[in-house]
Amino acid sequence: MHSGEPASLRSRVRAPAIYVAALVFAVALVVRFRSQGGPYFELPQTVQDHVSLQRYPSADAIVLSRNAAKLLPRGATVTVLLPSEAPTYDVTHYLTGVGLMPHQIVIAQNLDRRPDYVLALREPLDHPAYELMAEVEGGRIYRVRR
Amino acid sequence: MSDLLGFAAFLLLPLIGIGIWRLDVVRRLPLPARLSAALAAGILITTIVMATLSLFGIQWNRTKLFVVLGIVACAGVLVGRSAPSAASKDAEKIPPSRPQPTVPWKLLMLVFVMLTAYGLMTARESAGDLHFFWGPKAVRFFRAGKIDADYLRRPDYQPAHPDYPPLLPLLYAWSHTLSSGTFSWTAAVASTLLFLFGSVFLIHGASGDGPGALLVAATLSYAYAVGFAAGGADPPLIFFETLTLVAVMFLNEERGSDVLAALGLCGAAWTKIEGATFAIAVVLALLLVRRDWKRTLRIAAAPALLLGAWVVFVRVAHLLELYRGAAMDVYWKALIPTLRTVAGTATYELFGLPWIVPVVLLLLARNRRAATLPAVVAVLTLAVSIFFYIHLPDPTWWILASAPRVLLTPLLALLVGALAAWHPRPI
Repeated sequence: MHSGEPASLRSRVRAPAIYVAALVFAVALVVRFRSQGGPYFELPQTVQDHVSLQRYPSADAIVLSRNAAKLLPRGATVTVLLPSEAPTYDVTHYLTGVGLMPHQIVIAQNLDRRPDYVLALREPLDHPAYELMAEVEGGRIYRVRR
Repeated sequence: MSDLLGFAAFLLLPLIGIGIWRLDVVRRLPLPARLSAALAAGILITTIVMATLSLFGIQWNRTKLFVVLGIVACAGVLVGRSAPSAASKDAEKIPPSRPQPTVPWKLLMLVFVMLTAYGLMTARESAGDLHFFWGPKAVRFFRAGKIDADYLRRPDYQPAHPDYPPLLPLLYAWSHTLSSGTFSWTAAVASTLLFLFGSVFLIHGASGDGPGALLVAATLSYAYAVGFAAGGADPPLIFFETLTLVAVMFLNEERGSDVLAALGLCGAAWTKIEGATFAIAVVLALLLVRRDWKRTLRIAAAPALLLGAWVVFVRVAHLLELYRGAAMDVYWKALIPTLRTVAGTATYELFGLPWIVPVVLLLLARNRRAATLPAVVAVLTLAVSIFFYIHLPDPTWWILASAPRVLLTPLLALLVGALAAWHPRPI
C-alpha cells in the first residue's frame, strides 16, 4: 500500500475497525472504573483505595503506617500485621510499612522477636506481651509490655 | 505540594536527556515523539549517574544531583543546538500511508488520556508492588543517598526482591529528591501516564500511523487498568521496549536508530528481569530475521554491559540472586495447567479483544512479512514467561497475580507487528 494507490477494501476497513475497537475499550474502561466503587470524583486517601470494590487491608496498612510514623519514636522496631492471619501473616503488610515509616525499623511479623510496636490492621491484637497504646485510623498501635 | 514536586521530577527528565535530539533520526520525529525519546534518555542518564555516584561511595543529595544532571542537561542543550534545526527537516518527516482524517483518532486519543488520568488519580489502577517494594526501596535509597546494599541484604527485606534491577527505585528516589520530605506515591502512580503516552507518541512519531497509535493507546490503557500496572515497573518497561521495537521496525536503516534501540534495551534490562529476557528475545529475533551480526552486536553491547554491571554488583554485595532462576527445577507436569491459566488471564476480561484486534489487522495486511521480527519477539517472550511459570509445581496464584502485566510485552510486540504490516515503507 503506497501513497496515491487506490485504497483497497481492506485498507478502507482498517481505520473504522480500529475506531470501533477503541470505543469498546473506552466503554470497558468506564464500566470497570464504575465497578470499582465510589466516591468517583474525590481524591483518594491512598493509591490503593479503589483497586477493588472491597477495600484491601493494604490500604489500611498505608493509613495506619502513615499515622504511626508520627507517633512512634525514631529507631523503634515495629511490624504491621492483620491479627486474624496468624501465624501465616501477609508479608506485604509489613513491607508496606517499610516505605512509610523511614525513621523506624520495620521488621517481619514474628512476635517472638518482640518488636517494640505492633500495628494491628482492623482487628484487636490479643497477645500477652503487648498492650494497646493508641487507636488510630486504619487500626491499633500496640507497644511491648516492659 | 510534595505530589507536584514529585511529579515535576519526571517532567525534568526530558531536559536531562535532550542531547538525544542530536541524532538525525530523533530530529525528524514530531515533537511529542522527540520528547519521549528525551524522556527515555533522561531516565537512563539520571539513574546511571545515581548508580555511579553510589558505586564510588559518593552519597547523592539534591545539590549534587542538580549540579551533575544540570551539567548534563546544559551539554545536551548545546549539543542539540549545534545540530541543524528540526524545522528545516520538516520535509523529511516520515509520511503517513495516505492522507487520513486526523480528527477521530486524535479525539479518541484524548479520551484515553483522560480515562487513564482518571483511573490513576482515583487509585483504580495502582500496582500493589509500588507499596510492597519499589517505593520502599526508593525511600531507603533516598535516605541513604545511595543504592543501600546494607538495607537490601537484611533478612527482613528479602521478600522485597533485593536483586531486582535498580532503575525504578532510583527513578523514584530522584522524584523523592525533589519532593524532599515525603515520597509522593501519587506522583509515582501518575508517572504511568507519561510512560503510556510516551510509548504511544513514539509509535505515532515513527510510523506516522494515527489510527494505529490510537489502537496502541486504547489497548495499553485498558490492559494497564486490568493488570493494575500503575506505579509498578511495567509502564516504564513497556516504554523502553516500545523505543527498541520502534527503532528496529520503523526507523530501520536510519542513522542513529541503533542508538535508540540500544537505549531502549538498556532501560528495559535495568527495569525488570523480564526486560533482560526481552533484550535476549530482540537479539535472537534480529539474528534470525535480519541476520545482521554487526548491527545486532551494536544494539546489544550497551545493555549487556549495563545488566552485567548490575549482576556483578548483586554478586559482590551478596544479594539474593534470581538471575540463576532458569537453572532451577522445571515442573513439566504443570505445563498444561499453566497454559490454561495463562490463556484465561490473557483474555483481559474482554474475550481476548486486546489480542484479537492486532491479529485481525495482521491478517488483513498485505505486507505481513514485515511483522516477522516483532512476532518472533512476541513468541519468545511469551514462551519465556511460560517457562518461568513452570518452575513452580502449581503456579496458578503467581500467574493470576502477574500474567496481565507480564503479557504486556508480547502484546506490545504483536501490536507493533500489526502496525508494521501496514507501514507504507518497506521494513
